[in-house]
Amino acid sequence: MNEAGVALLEARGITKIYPGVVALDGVDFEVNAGEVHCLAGENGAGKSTLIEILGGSYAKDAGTIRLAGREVEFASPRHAQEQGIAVLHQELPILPHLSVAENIFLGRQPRGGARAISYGEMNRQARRWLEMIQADVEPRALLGDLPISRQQLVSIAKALSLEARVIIFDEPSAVLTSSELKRLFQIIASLKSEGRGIVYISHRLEEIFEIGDRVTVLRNGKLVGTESIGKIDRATLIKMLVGREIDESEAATAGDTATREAPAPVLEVRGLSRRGVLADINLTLHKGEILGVYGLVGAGRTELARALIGADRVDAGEILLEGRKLNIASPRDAIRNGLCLAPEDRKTQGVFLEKSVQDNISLPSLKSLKGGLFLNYGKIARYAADFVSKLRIATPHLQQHVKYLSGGNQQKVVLAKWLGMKLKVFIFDEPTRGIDVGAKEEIRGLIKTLAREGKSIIMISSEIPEILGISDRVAVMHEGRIEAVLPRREATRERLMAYSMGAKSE
Amino acid sequence: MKTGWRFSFMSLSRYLALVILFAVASLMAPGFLSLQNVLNLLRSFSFLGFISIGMTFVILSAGIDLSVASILAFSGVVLGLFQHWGIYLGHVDQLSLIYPTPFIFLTVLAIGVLLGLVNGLVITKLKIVDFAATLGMMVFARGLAFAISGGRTIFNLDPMALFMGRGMVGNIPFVAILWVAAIVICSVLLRYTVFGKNLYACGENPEAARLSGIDPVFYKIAVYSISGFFAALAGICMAGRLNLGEPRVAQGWELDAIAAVVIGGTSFAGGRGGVVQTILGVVIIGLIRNILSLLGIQPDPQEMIMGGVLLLAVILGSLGTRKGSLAHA
Repeated sequence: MNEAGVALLEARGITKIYPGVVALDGVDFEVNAGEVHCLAGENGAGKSTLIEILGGSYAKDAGTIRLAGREVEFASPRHAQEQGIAVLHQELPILPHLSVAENIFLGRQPRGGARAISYGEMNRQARRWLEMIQADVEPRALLGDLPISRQQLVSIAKALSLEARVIIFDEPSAVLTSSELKRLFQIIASLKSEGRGIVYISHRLEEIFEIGDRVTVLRNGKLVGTESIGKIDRATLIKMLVGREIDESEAATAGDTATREAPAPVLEVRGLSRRGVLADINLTLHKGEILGVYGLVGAGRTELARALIGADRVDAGEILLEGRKLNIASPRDAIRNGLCLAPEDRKTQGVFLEKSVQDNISLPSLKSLKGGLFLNYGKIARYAADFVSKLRIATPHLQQHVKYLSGGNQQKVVLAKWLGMKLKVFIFDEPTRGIDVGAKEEIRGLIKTLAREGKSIIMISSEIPEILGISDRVAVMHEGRIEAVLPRREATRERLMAYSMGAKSE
Repeated sequence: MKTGWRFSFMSLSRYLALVILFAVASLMAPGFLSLQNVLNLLRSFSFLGFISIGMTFVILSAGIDLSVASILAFSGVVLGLFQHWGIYLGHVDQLSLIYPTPFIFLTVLAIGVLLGLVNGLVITKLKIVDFAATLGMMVFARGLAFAISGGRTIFNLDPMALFMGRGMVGNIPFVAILWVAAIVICSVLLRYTVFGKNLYACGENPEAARLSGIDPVFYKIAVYSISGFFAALAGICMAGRLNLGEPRVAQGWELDAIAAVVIGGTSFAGGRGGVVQTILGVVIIGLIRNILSLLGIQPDPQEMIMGGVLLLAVILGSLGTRKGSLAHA
């Protein structure tokens, strides 16, 4: 069934079940010696779960894994390593204050006399492995001082030193520049020629076509199919990824024209850039409009939200509110000008868990809740109680600590915090993440109500149905850029996914 | 609820400790609980009390200020020098004010605020951890106190300075009144002003505070300035009490102040506690010291016991908090 004969690594019927979710449903996957096998799929398709199982980090609930024909059970990542499987995670687990050589030989340092670590021997061996991939890295350098691309080379050297037969790259391109990526591809090619099996995870189509021999696509934890790269074209692969056929050329750049037909915009963003994170973001937002922002993890959605409200510095670009150029250096400036954010990480950034519902709701509005010089607690309580009843926040009393509320009610508290101020632009970053279904609907309803009342809304979400259900227009982000802005009627699930994977990056 | 139970246990244990300490003390020294002795005790607690107020602000912001005792000593020396300006002009041992005493007080307080401000700026602008920055100031301010005094004790202050430390209003020590007034003002500041509310928010979660439009940097700088102010105030009163400017006073008091704040119930993790709670901590620490002295234990072995008390307080205080109390220290 394949060119090289016996599969190096063969997984059959891999199943992983979490409470309420089937993360992997009987997935087959194999890697041959001397092959680059790409693994693709959208967020939550099960790619990560699969490699964690292959790498020994997670236990599978069903299925078999065979290494060169022999069935194996991995008890731990270390065990998988010893069997010759190395996973290079996107977030490389490094010890920045140790040297390159020490990182490579962590836990298995070459010993000299009296069982003491022989640094000379360790550095010599490290240099040998590094030279094997022609990595220009000094073994004695501190790993933390190296750029990420070099750190990755060190990880590869480590994998080689472990005699890894199968090397799994988890979205390496996410952190590399294009020239670094080219270099990585050369190394992968040489690893391949040595007869190792490579698993390469990416959702960038170009890379898959450039480096892959075969590609396996997962969707919703299920295997969509495995194809030889030589036998498919981009359209087929996109179809496999998104589940339906779409014509790339048809995918409109309608965003630009659509924005001009509407009345004067409330918010205009021009050329907003932050090195390595956001590139030339242009956006307009109208009164009473909900702009959905879709993108895969790492596309720069949260970074955009944070840049807009001044939480992170930007390198270039301007933000105009009702035609007036804003000077936003901090969230405080943004709020003063009428912009606010309900952050993605609700528990650590949105609310104060150890503070009461009343304190959380009233915090930004305290200035207006004074009686003379001092705070008027009667006023504060009435103010908070008003929002608790308006938003139907389920809490036994106003003094309840927010940590005891459900996710949905916590999100309502975040919303309530901003409602009492005369703000114009509300940015929601994943407002319904981790909230139960009923509450999700309620939060969406509140967002729609806000828009009806004339507020302008940017809503970031990973859930396409949510985006499509609520947005007037949808912006799709890919690698820090806005790939397209689609009016609601032109936005489809397939298009959003295609754009989010950079299907039309030229 | 579990936390509710823990909370009441913690507060109860504090009061229990207080009652036991009073009982022990009055058994050992009859008349301990007489009104006059209690008032005297109140005075002796006030000096530590001042710096503990400042420390409460700092710990509420999830910081720690090791420089308070040094700033206290430095302030006393500055006061002494300003009152003996004549030393530099050749007429020794004569009070020679460069300007009226109240202005000297204001100058000393301003210097205290300035040193605290430097702490805050170093921590926020140079991004040095609180512990290291204030450790530097602790050594620096103490060194400065020795440098400007030439290591000498400066004797004799004017009556107004003496009044700060020794004065009585009727039966009540003036310094105790000042301390209680400071506590009242500070607890109003913390509870009934936007400043106080925002300070608690920054202490619990600076990032959430920032996204809510509060500038945590401002509050960090503010709490260290407040701490510097109270250290200077304590320095003035202490100098008045001793009738001298002395670079060696209050060695190790920063730890007593930290212990008092934590025993009082202000969390090292920031954002929880208050100055009123700190009274309890100051009284407990003061009583333990008092009893140890009554027992005839020398100051140095006393430190050993105080170290144990501090550790115990921190351990008890960290029970029930997710991060543990020392996570932010």
